[in-house]
Amino acid sequence: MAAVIEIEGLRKEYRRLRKPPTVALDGLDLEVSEGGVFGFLGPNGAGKTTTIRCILGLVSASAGKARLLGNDVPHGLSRVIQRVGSIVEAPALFPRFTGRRNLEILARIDGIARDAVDTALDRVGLTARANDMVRTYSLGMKQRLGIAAALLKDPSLLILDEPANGLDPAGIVEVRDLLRSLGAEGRTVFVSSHILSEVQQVADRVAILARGRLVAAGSVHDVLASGRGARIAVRVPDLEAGRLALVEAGIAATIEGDLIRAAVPPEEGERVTRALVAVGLYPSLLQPDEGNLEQAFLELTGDDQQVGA
Amino acid sequence: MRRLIASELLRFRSRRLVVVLLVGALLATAVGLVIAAFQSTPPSDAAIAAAEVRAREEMASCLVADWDDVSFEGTLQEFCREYVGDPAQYAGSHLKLADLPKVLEGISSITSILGLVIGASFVAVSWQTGTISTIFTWEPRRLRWFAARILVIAAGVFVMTLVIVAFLSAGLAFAAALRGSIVGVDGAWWSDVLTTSLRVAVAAAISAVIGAAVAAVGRHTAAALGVVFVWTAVIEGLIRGFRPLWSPWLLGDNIVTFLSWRTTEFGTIQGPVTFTPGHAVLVILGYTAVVLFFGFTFVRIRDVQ
Repeated sequence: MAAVIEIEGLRKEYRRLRKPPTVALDGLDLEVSEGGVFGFLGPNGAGKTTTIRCILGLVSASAGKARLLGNDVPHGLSRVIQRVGSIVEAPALFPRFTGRRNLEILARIDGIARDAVDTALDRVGLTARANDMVRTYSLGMKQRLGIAAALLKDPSLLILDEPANGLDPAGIVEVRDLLRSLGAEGRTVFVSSHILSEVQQVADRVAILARGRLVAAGSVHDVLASGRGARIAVRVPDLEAGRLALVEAGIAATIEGDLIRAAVPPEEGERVTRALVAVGLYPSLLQPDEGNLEQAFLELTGDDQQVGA
Repeated sequence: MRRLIASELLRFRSRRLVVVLLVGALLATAVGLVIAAFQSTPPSDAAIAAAEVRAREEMASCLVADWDDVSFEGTLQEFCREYVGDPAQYAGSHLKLADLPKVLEGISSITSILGLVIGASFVAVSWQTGTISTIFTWEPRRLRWFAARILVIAAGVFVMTLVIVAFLSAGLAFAAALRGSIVGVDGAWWSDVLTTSLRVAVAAAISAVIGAAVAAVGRHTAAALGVVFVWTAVIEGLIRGFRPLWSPWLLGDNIVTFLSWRTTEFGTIQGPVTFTPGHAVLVILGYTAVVLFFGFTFVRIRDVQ
């Protein structure tokens, strides 16, 4: 599959008066292949938005290279921008224009027909409020209008920076479904978020960023596995006795809630069962425990940075 | 580029500030005309006839007078026409349509300020609201975008000023016909009105372009207006006071010369200074080019956060 985003050694420093420069990106390497939903994850301040700004030509990189749909950024950007829809941080729209007028102004830049504006508004469920001023919109509605603007070009690549920001639970589910359907249509959806669990539900592949560096990339399953090592969750009547039996059998184990989590890969489930049965404990549940991206992130970065839940 | 201009044009005419300023200017003009009309006492036919006689006499004596010590451009006929002035002025104080070119020159400072505000805010608002990010993700060729916006600003303010000028001219003609005089309205007057209107509109358009270019550097409307104010009112004022011989290179003085389209000469402590329309055009274009250069440079190189 062709790469739609290629980033090589990308570095961005912000110079400050009489202070050392702030390094937002520190030699980032990333490749995003065509199709599906790609989650670009990391806590606030990890460099996600700076990366997006760099690949869209909004900020210039201090070093490194970026290519979008095979064209160098920023010089070749104008050749591919018509195929790229994007939202960078909060959707930036004119608050005193109506939602429709905002989209019409953008549509004119690319000579997009008026029908496309209606279609985009309809797709994000804003038709009824299209003629209201944007300043009267809720944050969630602004996000949806931003997504509508990104969809106007019928893009093959969508770059969405924190699209679920400010949305209520119903809105988050809507956006999640929208991202899934866009990915299923054959578009590449590159979605950044600090809410790792949210993206885990829609992304096929993810990259985790911390302090301007890539810490993991690949399929969601691979990243989960690389973060913590696979584990097994097991339930027995006497949790403490079970934990001790596993430790005596050379298996690291901890009690979390009503489960014992054993640090062995799922294919070694037999070892766990044997150790427990040997002391007369018969498991009522034994299953692979993949954990989630938050846990994987914390283990990969080896720190206790706050990540969105 | 055509699509980009179409998009910018739609954005320009959708701006509330543009509509509010245009409607406000037209309302203020209407109110001013009504007040002027009420305060004007229309001269009688006899007074107008007497004034025309008086003007002819003044003209005749001007043409035979000794003007050896006075330097002027053009023919003696042209000099005397300007010296004698409109015949209507000899018929007492009232609204005179013949004064329209001077009135238009008088409102040019207001239309130029309107242009400056519109130009500065139209550019700065994109940075202040963050919409510049959205724009550049649709048109990443920044210079192309800025050129389109500058063109739209210049054209928009030019047309807007012509609308104000046309409204004022029509209103003054109507008021003068009812409550004043239309003496002195001839072919030369029409030509004067037309060229003055165009110069007023051009001056407003140039102010808008300068405001837009400064706003592209400062990214804030108030900052842009402040910079232009400090330059024209403070710095140029100081230069005019301490270095009067540099006056021919100041923006404000040259805009005045451009609007009046007359060669003027002033004596100063340091010597005479002369302003000519051609020189004024070059200086104004020079200032505009320099400010635009900085505007384009900042738009091209600065990060959009």
